[in-house]
Amino acid sequence: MKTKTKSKQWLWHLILLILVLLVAYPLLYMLCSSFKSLKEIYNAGLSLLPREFTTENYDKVFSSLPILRFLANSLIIALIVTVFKMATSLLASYALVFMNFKHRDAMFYFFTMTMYVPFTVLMIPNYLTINKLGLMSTLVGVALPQLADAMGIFRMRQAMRTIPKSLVEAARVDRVGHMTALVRIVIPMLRPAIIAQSMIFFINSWNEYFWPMLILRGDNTSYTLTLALQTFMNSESGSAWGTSMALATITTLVPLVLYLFTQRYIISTFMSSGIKE
Amino acid sequence: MNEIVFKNVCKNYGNVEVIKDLNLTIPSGQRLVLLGPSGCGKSTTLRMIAGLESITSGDLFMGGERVNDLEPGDRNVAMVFQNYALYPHMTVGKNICFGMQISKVPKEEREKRLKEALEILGLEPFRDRLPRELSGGQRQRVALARAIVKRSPYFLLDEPLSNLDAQLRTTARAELVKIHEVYQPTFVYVTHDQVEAMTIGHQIALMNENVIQQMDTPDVIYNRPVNTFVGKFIGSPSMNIVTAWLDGGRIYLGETSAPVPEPWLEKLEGRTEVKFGLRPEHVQLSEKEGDFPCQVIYVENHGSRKCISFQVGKESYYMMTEADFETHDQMWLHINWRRAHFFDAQTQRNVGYPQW
Repeated sequence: MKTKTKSKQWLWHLILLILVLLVAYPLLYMLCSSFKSLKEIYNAGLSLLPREFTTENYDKVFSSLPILRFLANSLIIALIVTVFKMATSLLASYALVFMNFKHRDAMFYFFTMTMYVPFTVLMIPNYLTINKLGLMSTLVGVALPQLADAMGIFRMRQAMRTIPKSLVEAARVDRVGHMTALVRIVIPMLRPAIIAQSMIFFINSWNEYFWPMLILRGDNTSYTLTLALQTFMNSESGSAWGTSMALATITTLVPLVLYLFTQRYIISTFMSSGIKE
Repeated sequence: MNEIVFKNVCKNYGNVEVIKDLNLTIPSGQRLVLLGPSGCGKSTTLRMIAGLESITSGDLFMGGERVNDLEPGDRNVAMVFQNYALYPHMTVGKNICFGMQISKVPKEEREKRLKEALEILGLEPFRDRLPRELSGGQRQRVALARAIVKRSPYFLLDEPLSNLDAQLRTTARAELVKIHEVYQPTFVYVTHDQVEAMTIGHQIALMNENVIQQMDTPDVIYNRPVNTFVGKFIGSPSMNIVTAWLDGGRIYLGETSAPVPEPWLEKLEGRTEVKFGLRPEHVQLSEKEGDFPCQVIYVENHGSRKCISFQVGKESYYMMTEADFETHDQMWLHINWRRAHFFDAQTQRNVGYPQW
């Protein structure tokens, strides 16, 4: 009996190991390749470790592009988007859970319906609006259409529903306004869920390529890191794989560090269904 | 001063009527218990006072002021919830002080009230603990302390003891009454437990099917129930109520009959079918010949008392007795007419009591 469960466990671990490799290999390959010369990248096939360790790719990236500027641009957009998305999600879901008003549920369904509208449909009207507002080639222009998010409202509402209503009612009886109740009672109780969702918002915005490309045209000092990646990829001078890998590594670094700091919240949020008193 | 008055208050959820034309006056400084089975509208009534439920029609006055449209925070009520509603991320001290902080009570005063409340409820050692580190009884006391420090003229309690075990409940009941006596707020207490209602209330409003059936002192509610519902709801085991027939000055329970004494005959004149009620604690059985022959089915030992189930004809009855009870083949039911109740067979309303 015991050996059976043990061998079963081994099997599971083996499967997990294969899955980890599938996910981690491209990342490791990217990291290792960024320290290889272009020649070695072409010749080495799938082998990981560089035979000749070189930082020339990084030197090239930093000398040819204002990387710190791009990093700042990416950060600014991602932070604006994350903060606003979270704020709007929290406000909307608080109202949807703790306040009574007509057509409350209909409103919620309406919000969630917007999740099913594909980006490609919104792209042109958003583009035209940003253009009309004179926000082309600005970071605000990239962030503006992303300040509210139906998915965030949905997730935060689900999380808030696990909080007993009487907590907010007790606060209301004690003369606590809705805003204070949200900030001092609801948000502290949802900290793990908020951190996890914020991470998702941040990474989504950080990784975004197509929308910033539409808005941040021409003026390449306003580029984000993801847009900068394409500057090493062009058909005329051939693709500079080494520098691309170096830049990709830099681009991956920020979400990776953030994840390391917040992973315990993310895991706890996805493992448990929330707070139960 | 701080009385609460409901005038023709109705509450609907969509098409569902939850409260029907409620007229109720809760005198200042009194303890009123809203009692009733679940779903009878008692919690809704309490929540309307707190402002947590809107009023569909009618008027609610508190301290002479119409409060229909007042926010919960502006009604100056203190409320204890069934699940205590303690903020899980705040310590006991912070939980108790949070409301005062919001109301901008000066720090010294806050500290003073906190200390007093902790002392009264024996919570001093737990001041810096989180709610999850407390037992059920301690949490309940924290919720109570949070209500006390508000110094509110209205105290609303929504089944505050229902999550406690039986022993704790007894001490907590006494604690509640003691606290009321210290601060004298107008006290509205919701429960489905008749023992709590009887022990805590100056007055009990017994609700059923969205309507107050009877509102009176515990004694009157117990001794003079206005209808069969009240009779059955109060008392444990509940009142024996059976259909009886009157004919020729005699009362028939099934096939057998007994003479009805003069005062009752006057009261029951003109009736043939009635509901006859007798509380188990007022039933007398013995082997000595009496009003109705009966047969004992079983005896339940409750420790201090015994509950005897017996039959007259086909109807089952209960008796509670402190005496050592011995069963015999043939027993007799003796009716204590001064403790009997009669209700109308159709309306179920009490027909009244004779002068003895």
